[in-house]
Amino acid sequence: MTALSPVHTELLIREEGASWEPLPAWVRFFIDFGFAWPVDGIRRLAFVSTPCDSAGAALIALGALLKRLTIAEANDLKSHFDRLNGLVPSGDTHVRLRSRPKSRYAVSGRNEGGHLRFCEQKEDGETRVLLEANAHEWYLVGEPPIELRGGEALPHGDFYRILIGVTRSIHERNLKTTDSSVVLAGRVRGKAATEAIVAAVQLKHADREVSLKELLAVHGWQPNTVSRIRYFNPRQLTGSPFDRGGQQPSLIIADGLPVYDRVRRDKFCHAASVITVTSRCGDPKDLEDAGDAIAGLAQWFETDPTIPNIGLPVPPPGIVAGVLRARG
Amino acid sequence: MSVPASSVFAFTESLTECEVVRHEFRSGPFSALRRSIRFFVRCCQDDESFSSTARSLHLSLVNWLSCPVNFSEFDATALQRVGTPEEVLRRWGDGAVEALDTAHRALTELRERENPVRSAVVAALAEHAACSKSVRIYCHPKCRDHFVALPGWVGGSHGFIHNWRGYRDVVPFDALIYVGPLRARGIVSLPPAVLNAPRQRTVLQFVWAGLDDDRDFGRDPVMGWLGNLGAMVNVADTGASASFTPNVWVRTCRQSADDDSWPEVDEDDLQVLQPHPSTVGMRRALLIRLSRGCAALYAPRTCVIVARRDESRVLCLAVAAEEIGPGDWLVRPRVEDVDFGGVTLRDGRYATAWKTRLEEAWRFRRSDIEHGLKERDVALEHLGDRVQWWCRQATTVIHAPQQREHFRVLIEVLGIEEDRNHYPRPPGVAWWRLAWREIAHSRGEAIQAGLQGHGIINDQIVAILNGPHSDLLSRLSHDEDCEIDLPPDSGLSGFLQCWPVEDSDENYHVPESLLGAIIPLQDAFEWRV
Repeated sequence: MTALSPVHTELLIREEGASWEPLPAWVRFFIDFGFAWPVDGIRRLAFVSTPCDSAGAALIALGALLKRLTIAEANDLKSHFDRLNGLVPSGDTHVRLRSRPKSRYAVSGRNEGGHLRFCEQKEDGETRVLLEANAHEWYLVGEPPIELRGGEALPHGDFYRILIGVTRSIHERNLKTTDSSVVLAGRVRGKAATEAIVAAVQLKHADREVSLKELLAVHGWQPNTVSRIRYFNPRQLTGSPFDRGGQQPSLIIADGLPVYDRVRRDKFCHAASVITVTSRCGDPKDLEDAGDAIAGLAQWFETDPTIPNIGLPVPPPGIVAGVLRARG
Repeated sequence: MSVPASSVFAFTESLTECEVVRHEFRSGPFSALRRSIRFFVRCCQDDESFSSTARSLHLSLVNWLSCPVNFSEFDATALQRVGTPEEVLRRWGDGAVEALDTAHRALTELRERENPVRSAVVAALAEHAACSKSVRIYCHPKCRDHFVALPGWVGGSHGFIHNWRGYRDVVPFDALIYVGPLRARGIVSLPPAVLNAPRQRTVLQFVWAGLDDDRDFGRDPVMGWLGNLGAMVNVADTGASASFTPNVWVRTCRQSADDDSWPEVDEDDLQVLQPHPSTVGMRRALLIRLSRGCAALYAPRTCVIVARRDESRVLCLAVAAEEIGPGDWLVRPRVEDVDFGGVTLRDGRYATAWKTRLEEAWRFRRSDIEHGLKERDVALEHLGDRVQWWCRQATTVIHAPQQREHFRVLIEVLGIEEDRNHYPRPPGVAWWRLAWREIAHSRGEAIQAGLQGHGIINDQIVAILNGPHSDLLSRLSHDEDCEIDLPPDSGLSGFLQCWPVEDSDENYHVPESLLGAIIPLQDAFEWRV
């Protein structure tokens, strides 16, 4: 489980107002950190401290996304059927069919065989039955399709392949399917602030340019395709803070200590590992408060002895990282 | 505006050597003056009628210790407020007279001397200017004028940083100049990021003797704890440390002292004296620095109206006070009362019962009430006035003690809790809880009505200024405040005060009465903690 290839000479990066440059060490670190994060079922907390504000959290999320692209069946297909099959007839929940994206269907009970029925919402609308075999054809209104049709796929596979390098390969089906395992918890200032940060970071390969925002495949930012990263909005105080439904996340990347606190208190996130990126140039009082709160973690978390062996990248100058794992 | 991360990381990577040079100064007459001022601050703090004098003296001392003041222009106004020698003798005794005499002699001597801190700062600025090195000065806003008044000051060549936000947004530079000890908290402080996330290669510190640095200044409170647990991911063995812990910095200390026979007693004035012994009754506040030497103080998360330039036009927004920044205009509505059909109450069932009991008890058994409260550690100032207030009929709220515990004790002292015959309640339920629920409910409604009314006016003003009357914002100037009359067809009657915002600062504790008011900036500074 090694980090990405350290050589990305084909890729250039720039922040808003800056010039194009080869990927600097700090960018490679964040992407590598997300890529190397262990997928072993152990709950961990990591804190990554930087000397300035940056798109570090989003870059770690990108690394985690890249990792999931290389894992077979790293998608929501299996859980999607269970989720749809658990729907009950109500006026609020509607689904669409991939082949008929303009039609809306409502849950209308079950047939004699116990299979869920979807009824098209128009006069003389058709009725269809949900089966495990056709679950990937259906998706909830307001959410991305679970799988793209035909030759469609996420548009920036070439960038993903360059970043991953030659040591691993992408499972092509993952570029066509939605995944809910990785969550980016955005800034407390709101989704717009997070969106601005990620949009300001751009990568370039040959003549093609793409923003970090586009690479992250968050549903709200790329609504017409599958989504590989869920977005957690810490300002959403009522209803779900997630931008879409899905299984419980396995990894959450929190952009800032206040967001970590919000994630920690969300019951849906209690089993997930959390990587928090924080700047040392923040409000000193907030940092002190966070330090006190983190000190209290000792009763539930301990030093992780496996850390030196799992291949997390060495932080470059200015970046400090610490990892704990859940006791027991 | 944020600094690109690339430039900060590139700078950090280039740092192979970081230095803190502490220039420490000792002056006999200045030490004597400090000692005398400390004495009078303590005296005045113990006397409520001199509390403002205590604050003024303390602030003067802080000013002298944290700014490159010109000794010849020492402002002794605060010292004069303690009184004449005769008044001082009568009030505080012989020791105070001696301290006053010492202070005046020290002032006289100092006014004939150069401030060594000032001279050293001038020399440092000149040295860096000669090498074309970039310098930033970290100081409280009120110290700016002292730096600008330095001989050889070249406007525009040096920048000021006043708080952690300013440090966060500064591009990397060569040297940071700071007058005072390296501390993370207190009235003279700077953010630990100066050492653990530096934007400069050198810190030039100019400090008076007795003011030690915090031993752990620069410690990262988040990662420091993880480091103690041994939870850190391996650090690369490079010339520059990844962590920039305080011990990475090369520290140099250069001491100098004048030659004199004055007694030297250098205590840490910033530690031993507190401007406000207690912040009880104060509210945490944010200071918004405005034009013309004025300031506004707001509680955190207060919703205010600002006008803000967005490319080619000016927009009006309702934002939290923390989001106001330089370049904005603070818009303060001065509208005539709007009747929202506000909440008014009558005393509830429980309130009528305990108020009647309280009124009667206060009239005939006052000493029992006072004794009972004191015995239960409820020490309220001006109890008589408070009781009269609580006995009043409800208006928008049911008047009662602010704290739930005080109310519980009051009910207990009045004997209501034991008297089940006259004060029935459901089994298993304390009577005071039922009465308190009634009070809390009344307060919630009143607060909500106030908030809603304020919010409605704000929304309306934002809509007016962004809509049909957006031309009004063209009158805004960055140099001066102005008043804009609300148009007759706006539905509101009154005007808007618009103030250019220069900066903002935190760490203020102020009386409730100052929140939202426009006051002189110098007056606002005394509430900084």
